[in-house]
Amino acid sequence: MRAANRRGSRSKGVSTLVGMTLFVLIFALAVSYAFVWSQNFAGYVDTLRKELNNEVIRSSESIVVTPYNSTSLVISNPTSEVVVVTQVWSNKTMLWLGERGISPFGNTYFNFNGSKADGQFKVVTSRGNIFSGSAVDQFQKSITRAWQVEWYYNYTFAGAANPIPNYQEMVNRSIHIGTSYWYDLGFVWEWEFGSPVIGNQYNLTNDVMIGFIANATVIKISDNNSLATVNYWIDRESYVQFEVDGKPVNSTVDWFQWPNYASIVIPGEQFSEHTITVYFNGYRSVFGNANHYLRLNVVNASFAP
Amino acid sequence: MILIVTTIGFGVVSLSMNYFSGVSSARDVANKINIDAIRENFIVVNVLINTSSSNVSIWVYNYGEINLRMTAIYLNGTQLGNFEAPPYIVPAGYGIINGTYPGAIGNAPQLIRVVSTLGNYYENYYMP
Repeated sequence: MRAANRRGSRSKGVSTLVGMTLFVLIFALAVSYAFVWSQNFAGYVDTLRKELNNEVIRSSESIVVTPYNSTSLVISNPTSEVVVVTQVWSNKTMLWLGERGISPFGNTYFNFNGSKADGQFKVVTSRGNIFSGSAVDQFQKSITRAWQVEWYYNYTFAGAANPIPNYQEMVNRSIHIGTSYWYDLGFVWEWEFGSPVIGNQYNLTNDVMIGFIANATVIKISDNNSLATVNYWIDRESYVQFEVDGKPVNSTVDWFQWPNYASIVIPGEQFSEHTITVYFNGYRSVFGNANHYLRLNVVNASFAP
Repeated sequence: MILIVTTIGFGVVSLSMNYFSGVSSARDVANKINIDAIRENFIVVNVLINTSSSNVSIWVYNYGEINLRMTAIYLNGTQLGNFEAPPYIVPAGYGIINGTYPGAIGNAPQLIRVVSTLGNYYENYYMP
């Protein structure tokens, strides 16, 4: 009886040991796979981290695409990272394919003479960014900081003391010659006696009106303690009128002629933006022999950027 | 008793091994797909839309780290037919994919979406 009990308890002990061993085995199996899965997850997180780093570099990538004209451009890299250009497109056509690195603060030049380029370029970088630039945009940008000058001439009103009754009529009743751009806010325009101006094709010498309308957009840079002014000096036979923000500075007189020096105040707060329009009528009669001129200086204001 | 415990025990161990092995394989595959999906990057660099034939051609640039496989083009939410694409686009390479819209395309800006086999997509508006 005692021996049978001893055998039964030994068998129970062995089975417990086997069961425990198997449990430990399964547990070890689960732990080892959990370790493998955690390694996989760590690989995933590591890839995610690298991709986020790439995305940060990608989003900070910047280049400036500046077309010279419709077929050539310069690409500048204003950042401290190297930028690799891989494609240049224009007019929905791939003009260039390759790899060209632009060093930090460096630039590179492309010329596509004879291509279908239309002056609007798209540049693709190796990091998947697309940058663009337009020759038209560059022109618009350059004329923003300039006087845009529209030229007119007229023979019809010759011979009168005031050949064009008012400055608005100069536009309505004259012939448009062309457009110029003056890149200094202050300027001197002179028409010497006996000399043609603008172009000989019009034979613009005497008994004729030559006028222009000059437009500029300026920023007033003075505070309330100092004035921003437009100061001018004209000859005694010419006429001038000014508009600030589309309103004539003197509504009662069409043209300013005398006194020949005046100063016009630009109103508004510091850094306020204003448009200034100058109408100039330089009439020269048949017997007139005076030199015409307009000398203009703008104080405490700058071209708007 | 020992025989019973051993038999059942090894059966459970065997099932566990099968289970863990299967789950692990599935996790490996899913993990690789997820990682590839993250490393896949592309951008549309040019689009030609022919309004008379309703054909759409799209230049795709692969700036990711793995080969890129495109699977579909959508125009304003409609999948294009006659889909054609290169088998894959290598990293730093580009490929042209084509499709035909089942209808007329107007002159307004068109919303185009290109989709890769890994489920990533790039979407933007383009003029015909």
